[in-house]
Amino acid sequence: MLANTWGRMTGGDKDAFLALYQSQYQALFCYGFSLSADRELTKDCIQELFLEIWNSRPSLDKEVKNVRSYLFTWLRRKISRELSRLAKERVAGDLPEDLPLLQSSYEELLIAFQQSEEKKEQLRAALKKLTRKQLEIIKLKFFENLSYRSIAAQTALTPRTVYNLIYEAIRRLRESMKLLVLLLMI
Amino acid sequence: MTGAARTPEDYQIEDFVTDESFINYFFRLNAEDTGFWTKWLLAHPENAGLAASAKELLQSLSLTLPEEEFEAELARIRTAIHEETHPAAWESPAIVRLWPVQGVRRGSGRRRSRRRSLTYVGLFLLLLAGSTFLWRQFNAGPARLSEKTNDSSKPVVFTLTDGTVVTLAPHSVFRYPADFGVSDRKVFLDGEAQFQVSRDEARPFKVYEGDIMATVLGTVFQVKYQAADSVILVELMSGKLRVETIARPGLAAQSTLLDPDERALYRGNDRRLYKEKWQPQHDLSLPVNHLVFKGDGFEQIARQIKTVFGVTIINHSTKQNWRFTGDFTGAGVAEIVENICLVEGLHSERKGDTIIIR
Repeated sequence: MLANTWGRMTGGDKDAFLALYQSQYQALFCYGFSLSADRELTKDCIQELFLEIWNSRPSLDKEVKNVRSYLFTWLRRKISRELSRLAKERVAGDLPEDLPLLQSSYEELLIAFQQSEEKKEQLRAALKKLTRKQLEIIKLKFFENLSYRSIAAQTALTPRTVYNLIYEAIRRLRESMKLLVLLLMI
Repeated sequence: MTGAARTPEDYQIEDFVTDESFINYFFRLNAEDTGFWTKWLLAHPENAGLAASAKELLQSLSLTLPEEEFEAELARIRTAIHEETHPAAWESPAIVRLWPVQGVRRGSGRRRSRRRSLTYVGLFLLLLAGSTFLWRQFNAGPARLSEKTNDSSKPVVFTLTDGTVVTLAPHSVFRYPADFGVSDRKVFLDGEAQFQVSRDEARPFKVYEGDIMATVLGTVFQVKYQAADSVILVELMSGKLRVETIARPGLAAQSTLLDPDERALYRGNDRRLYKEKWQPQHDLSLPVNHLVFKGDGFEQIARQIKTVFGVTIINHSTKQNWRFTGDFTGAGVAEIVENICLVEGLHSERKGDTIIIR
């Protein structure tokens, strides 16, 4: 139980802290990356976040109602501030305290997530081969982790159709990224 | 949902990627799917390559960090929290007096009758471009600034959570964030204060006053030149201190090492750093100890007492979880401990500079 782990963590339980870290990390990373489109920045902000949590644990509320939401909010503020700070370094003059976070599209995020220019290019080309519907459904399935049934409900399609759409999209992606996949496998 | 007639043995990459059970395994959402696929992969090593490609595709589409990167981050946090529990906080703290630069104090208009001429300041500076920006930007995770105001006519002493002892001069305000000591130690001063900073290179102690930020790294200070006609003094009262100017284009860095009867003088006009002998004057009258405990446990209380009085307290009683609230001004350590024991039903025994509680 997340609330339980949180409570034990505030009491100084290191194992609880590490369990919290491991269970929440990927979700936080995904969220953070969607706000910043910057891998290293997201990783660093998450490190700071957890370090701050650990170091301030005596003063934290033992009974946080929604731990995940609490962490997400904290991370969001941190990333926003960090982005502001970086922007400020590049631009002279006054900027508002919290820059509005970039609303990157799913496609932009996918490309930004790749680490080499070559992979970025390949993915960009591959994504162009998908229809808008396919991209939308892929986002619902893999980025928002919805089930086929939920996606069906949301898109007024049948689960089977959703499945077929995704299947086809993945196949197309896989084909245009054949080289990419091989590279990753090395 | 799975591909119509295919069994996992015949799966192509897209079959893995679209298989909800495999997706659950990838995200480790439940034990059943995780268990199934782990076993299956062990039993079918010839499919490992395809499954790995499928995982990578899933990673790319879900913005999930690959295993190795995650393990690296996990190792990072592990190291960080294990280090945290061994702060070398109590050895040779440096005592530094901070005097604000005349004219920088924001609109307070109060005349502080100090014998020292106002062109001389005892201050080590690290002025960053746009430090007022830093001041505005500063915002703790859960944004809270606690404040200590000294409205009395005598200095007030208190201890911060990292063990740093602050002597706040009259008519001064001291602020610190709720997340003080977490990744660094930032405090805000409006007025005068003397700091006995506990050493911690991992968490720089930073004092902001007006447009100035000073960074203390235990016993090492960084001094950066700013205003053209200012004189900056760094006075060291105990410990050892290195005062440096920072190199700028055309200007090499200067550095000097201070002993407690020396001070560094940095002249803005010729941009030179000097060292001179100095007689410490105790300008602030003997600080009155002011210890406040608010529902503090033994550890916190022992820490404060150790820093202010240099006395170690050991808890050998069976009561370990008590919390104490109390406010002591001008009290000696014996009185404070007696008080606590009375309230908690404990006994104390003094042995040299150690007190044992039973």
